[in-house]
Amino acid sequence: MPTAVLERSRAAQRPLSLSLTEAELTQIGQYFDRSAITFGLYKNARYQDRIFPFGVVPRVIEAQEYARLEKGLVQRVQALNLFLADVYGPQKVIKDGVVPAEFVTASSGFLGPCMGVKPPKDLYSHLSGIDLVQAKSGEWVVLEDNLRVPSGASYPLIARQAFRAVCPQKFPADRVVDNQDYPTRLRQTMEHVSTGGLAVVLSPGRYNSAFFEHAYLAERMGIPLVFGEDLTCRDGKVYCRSLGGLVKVGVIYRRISDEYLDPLVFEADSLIGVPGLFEAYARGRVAVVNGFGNGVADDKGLYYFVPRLVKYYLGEEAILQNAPTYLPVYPQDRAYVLANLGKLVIKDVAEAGGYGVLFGSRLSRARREEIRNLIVREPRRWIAQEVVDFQDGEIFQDGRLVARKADFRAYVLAGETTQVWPCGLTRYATEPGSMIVNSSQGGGFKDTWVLR
Amino acid sequence: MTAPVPPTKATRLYWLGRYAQRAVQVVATSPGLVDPTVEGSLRFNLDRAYENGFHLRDILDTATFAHLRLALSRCQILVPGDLLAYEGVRDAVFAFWGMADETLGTEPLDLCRWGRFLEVWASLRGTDERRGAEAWKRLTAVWTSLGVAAPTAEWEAVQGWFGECYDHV
Repeated sequence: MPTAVLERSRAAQRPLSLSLTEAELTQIGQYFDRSAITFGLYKNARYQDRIFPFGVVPRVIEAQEYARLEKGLVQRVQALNLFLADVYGPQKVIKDGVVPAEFVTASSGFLGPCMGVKPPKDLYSHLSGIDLVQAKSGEWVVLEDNLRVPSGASYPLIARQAFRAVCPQKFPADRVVDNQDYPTRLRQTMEHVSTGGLAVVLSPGRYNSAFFEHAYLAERMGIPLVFGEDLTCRDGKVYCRSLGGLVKVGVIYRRISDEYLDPLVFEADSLIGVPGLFEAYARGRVAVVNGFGNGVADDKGLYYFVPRLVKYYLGEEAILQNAPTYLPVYPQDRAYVLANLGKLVIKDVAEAGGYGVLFGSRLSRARREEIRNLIVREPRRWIAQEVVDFQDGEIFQDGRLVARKADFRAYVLAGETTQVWPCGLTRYATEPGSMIVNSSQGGGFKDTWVLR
Repeated sequence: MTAPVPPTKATRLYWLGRYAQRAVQVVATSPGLVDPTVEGSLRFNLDRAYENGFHLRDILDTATFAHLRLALSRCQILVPGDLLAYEGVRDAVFAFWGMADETLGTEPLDLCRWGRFLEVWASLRGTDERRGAEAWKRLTAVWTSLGVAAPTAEWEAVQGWFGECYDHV
């Protein structure tokens, strides 16, 4: 019977351990298959629905540790929301020299049409996914902010159900904060900014890698899942087509990137968007969750400045720190990066999903030279970070316990208040030693148990 | 507020009903047909029922959809000649119908039943007058519930009736 002593609870007065029989592990796998808990992958240009690998052993976060994390996450997202309102408004942050203009206007996430547009309640990032790792010292370090369409919350949500259905007697319900209220929290966040009318989840379609999540969240929130063709804009308002006629839409939880959302303003070739949606949004007739143009705030280059933004907008020191980061656009940083390429992680700011991440130590001499030249030629395109030796997490793989690198995505909801969902997605690398945990690159996931 | 059913979803509900019912019928009439590339085979029909269901996951809910998934999973491992295993596929589809009755809202359920009863009626008309009439009664009840007029009881008219009623929406 494989048994895991849950790492973070070892120091607690009553440590948690988890023993599962082979039959229970099999049944959890069957629950996943039966419920079609899938994540889509494109392999050799072919789409495949694959059951998302589930490591079963949860990440455990102690109550005290979570309280600090929560405070830091709320602070970070509040600052990022204020930054977004500022860059699409007076741009004081640039005028005051806190962030150089080129990190705003040259960012591919900065959308000119959003200048001067005020979304309902002045909120841009209603749902933020903040990626962190826990260093071996125990310190939490932010790796990335995701303020556009962060995915993944549905997986720990349904995984908790699967675990409790298969082995209810083994779930320490008295010690772990319940996570089943995520759909209610998200729905309330949407309602807070709604302009009145129907709430919908807008999905790009069945072949999106996270389609399971789109449908599952719609199901759990009790609102329709729609595609672009189901919505239409008339007189600056958005409507949902239905057999009974048109129904006004007040808020859209969109799972489509900005550039494909409205072919009249952005990518003209987009077939998955809604013509006229941006106009309705700009006129305050519909709320879009998350707002347009958030990409400027989760740009890998802007990340460097986030602790400064916390200080600038909130007058507080940032509770959560970034991984040590260098911007080659600054001569001093560039010199350091070029001299230390072999020990740094180099990231292409235009990439996402774990793509464009290069570990200097693993590059061939020729490839390192190539990257060196690219950095010299296009310094704005790259950032470099010290490698954070982050903690392993235990997972059940093929019926036995193994250790794998794991990160953590926390979900922060900004509505009437800014709050953190007391759970999160722990992603792990399926290959030993690998630091790439992204689902799109074959990674798996674990539930996260926040202790009372 | 009752969730509106967009026309794209309505079409999928209708075809989900048709393909799932065809799968049930094919087990009874030609269970040996499991090749997914053969039009009308059990696997062909289940693949299409599943695909429509996948698009409708928010309406069907995870527990109801799970029965379609189960039917397809069972079908994928069928061994030719194992008749009890074929029954297992059919059981899963019936369990799906049972769950759908419990969980779907009136309008989505009616749209799904439209497709289902149309297939039932089509398989019985001209061969079993009593059961054919019963199926027609059920179809009529669906149209009444949806506020749609009934067509004439001729195959061409009934088959095209869904499009006639909703193509303009």
